[in-house]
Amino acid sequence: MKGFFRYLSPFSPDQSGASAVFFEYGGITVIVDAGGCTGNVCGFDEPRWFIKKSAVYSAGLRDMDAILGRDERLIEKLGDAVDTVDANFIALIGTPVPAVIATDMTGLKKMAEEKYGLPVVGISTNGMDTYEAGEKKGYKALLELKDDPLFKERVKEPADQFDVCVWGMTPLNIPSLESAAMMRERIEKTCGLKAVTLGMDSDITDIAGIENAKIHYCVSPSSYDVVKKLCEKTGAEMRIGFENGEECVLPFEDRIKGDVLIVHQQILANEIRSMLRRDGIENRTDVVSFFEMIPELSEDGDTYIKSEKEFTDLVKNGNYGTIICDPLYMRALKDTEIEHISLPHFAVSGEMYADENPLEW
Amino acid sequence: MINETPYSISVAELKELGKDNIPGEFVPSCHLIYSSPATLSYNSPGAIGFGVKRAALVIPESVMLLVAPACCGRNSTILSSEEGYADRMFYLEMDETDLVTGRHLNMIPQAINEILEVADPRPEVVTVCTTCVDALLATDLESICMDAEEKCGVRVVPSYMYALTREGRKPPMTVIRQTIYSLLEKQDRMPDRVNIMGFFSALDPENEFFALLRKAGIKEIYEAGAMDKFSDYQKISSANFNIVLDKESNFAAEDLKNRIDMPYIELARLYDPEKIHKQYQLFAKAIGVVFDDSAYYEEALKRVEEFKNKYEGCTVAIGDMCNANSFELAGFFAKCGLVPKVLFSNVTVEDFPYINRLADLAGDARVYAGISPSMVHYRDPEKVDIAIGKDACIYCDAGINVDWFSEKQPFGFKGLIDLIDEIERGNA
Repeated sequence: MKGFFRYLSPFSPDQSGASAVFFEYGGITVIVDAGGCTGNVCGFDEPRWFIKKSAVYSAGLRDMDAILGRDERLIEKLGDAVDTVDANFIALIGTPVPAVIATDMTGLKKMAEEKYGLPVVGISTNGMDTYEAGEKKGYKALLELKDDPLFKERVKEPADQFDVCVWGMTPLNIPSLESAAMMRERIEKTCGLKAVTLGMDSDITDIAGIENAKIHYCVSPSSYDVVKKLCEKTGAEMRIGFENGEECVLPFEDRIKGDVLIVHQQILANEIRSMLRRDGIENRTDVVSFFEMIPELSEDGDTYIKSEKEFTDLVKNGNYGTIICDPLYMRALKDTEIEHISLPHFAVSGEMYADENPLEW
Repeated sequence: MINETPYSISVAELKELGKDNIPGEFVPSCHLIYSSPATLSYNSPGAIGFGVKRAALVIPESVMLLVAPACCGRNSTILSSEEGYADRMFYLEMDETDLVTGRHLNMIPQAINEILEVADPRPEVVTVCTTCVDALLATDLESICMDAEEKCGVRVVPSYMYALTREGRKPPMTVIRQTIYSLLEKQDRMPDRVNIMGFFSALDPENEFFALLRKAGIKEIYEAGAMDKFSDYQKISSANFNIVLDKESNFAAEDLKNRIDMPYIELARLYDPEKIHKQYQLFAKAIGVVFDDSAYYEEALKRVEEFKNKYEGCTVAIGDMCNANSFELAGFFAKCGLVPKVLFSNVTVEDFPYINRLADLAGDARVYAGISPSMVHYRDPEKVDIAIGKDACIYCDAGINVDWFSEKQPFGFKGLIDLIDEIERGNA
């Protein structure tokens, strides 16, 4: 039955993805909810919450706010945060409540900009899509912010120019919080170019310098469309993947048996497949995901999974000898004989299996 | 001009303002809410401990079907695994079309049937939980559950995780307490049985309250949080009366009184030994028995005296995330000669008897509104010697840290002594 999960649990929703894009940029992020969504974003989907300060707030909506559509109350509440935080922008992130009452995020944006003179982005996430949909909207909003006259008044180009932008680097996509720094190092080593990883270890001024970059890397499907359009616009080069060189190894290759199924976000999964082939493992290797798959980056046998049942049927009937996936997926595969190699995905299991991460990139 | 000072107010000023003028900074609906790592459980009570979803599972041999957008079940992914109830949670995720058509509601009976196929053991009760979206859609979950019960041949109970109603007349954590007891049916009440309600997890079985009740002739003491079997749970309605230990359970107790004629009496969790003793005496008088708590009282006084001698003059920070009312606990510490310096706490009308008393003992203690937007700037302004509460330990991590947030619920003299022991352990 569509939408019914007997064994698996909900993945990170779109509001977590959108929030992750803006987390480090020194803005005021308001999750337009009653409270629970913000608790989930901060407590479970944003590992940086416990180590880096960020002004992420819940709108604290109550029933009468929703029923009467009291948008002006939310705008008033923003005032306390604006008085308290020296912010460069405000990001309003949608959840199921504004989705149900059809809150006009563009209208909210305009009201807030008028009242506070700060650039505002309104992101219509709804809590029902998965995280990469929110990240996609977040990146689109990031580019809109870059071009906003109010933003340009406040944020100048970076003092340190950079040549390379890496998109898609959020904790929900990457092996660990250190991945961003490691990738920047690899790029510098292989290409001799300075890189920024947007949204991770990144400064607000980096946003202003985006269009100067000569190369844009895309490490997750959520950033694919925005990077493609940006490269078409600026003539920059688009690259897909993590720029892993020979020094990057997969410590589990000796455990590969038979045909292989990799379950993760597509670009990371593709990277692992490439590395397996690089290292001479020519077994049939398919990539599947519960999250967006880009057709141009897919091979025969790669599939977007729509339901738990589809996933269990695919594994049972696919004759795979090895599955490389988050341990949480194994709850649905208890009766399946298959070699499991743990590859945690934060958007699936959060911090639960973080210390099982086998990748050092 | 940016104001980077986190909002706080002295206890004396709070007393001055009174319960009818609680500053807006303590009222969540007045401003944006900051979810510091310390106050996470405010916004999402299930983040640590018990939220609606886990609370409903207090019904023994029950499972939950969460019918909601995916985001609503997100914390259950991790918590249910860590806290051992992953096998009792199932999810029916809504999409945007469901918002418009309501078709997700039609799928509930089929989902329940699928649960019954896989859940091992077969549950006695399926709790269906809906969230803010269905609140706004005015979903009649009770009818849907009645229909599902008929179709599936299992008890189906509605529950509501409506964060939108948090400051309403019946907030979610109040309603879920009613839900937990909603399956009890009237039966003959036995004079030697009582039910304890208030906390989702069981009281420390070694606390003296049980011994005192038994000495007073009570043979059966029921607690839903301590039960594994639905058949045991059903015995609760044979209790002579309910003992309510948390005000959030008053609504549930009132419901039981109206529905199955079970009266109730309220007690508070206290840490001041004189007040504990007085409460026991009043309680015993009210129910017509004698409580000889002298041995426990004397032991507690002795331990408190030792504690005073050792820790007099020490500064204390107390948070909301602890098994205590932070103002009452602060009052006890002040009476012992410690110095409550900082409290991290919301303020409600029910806190004012403790606030008023604390104002006379430690009026300079500052109360920080953990949810205030200004708390993004909070830094530990001065070191405190002792921090009590999970949130206080995050804010003030330098001295003795005592979470005091276990699932085993402390109560009475034993609770007080255990707290003292924990402070000593933290100091070792």
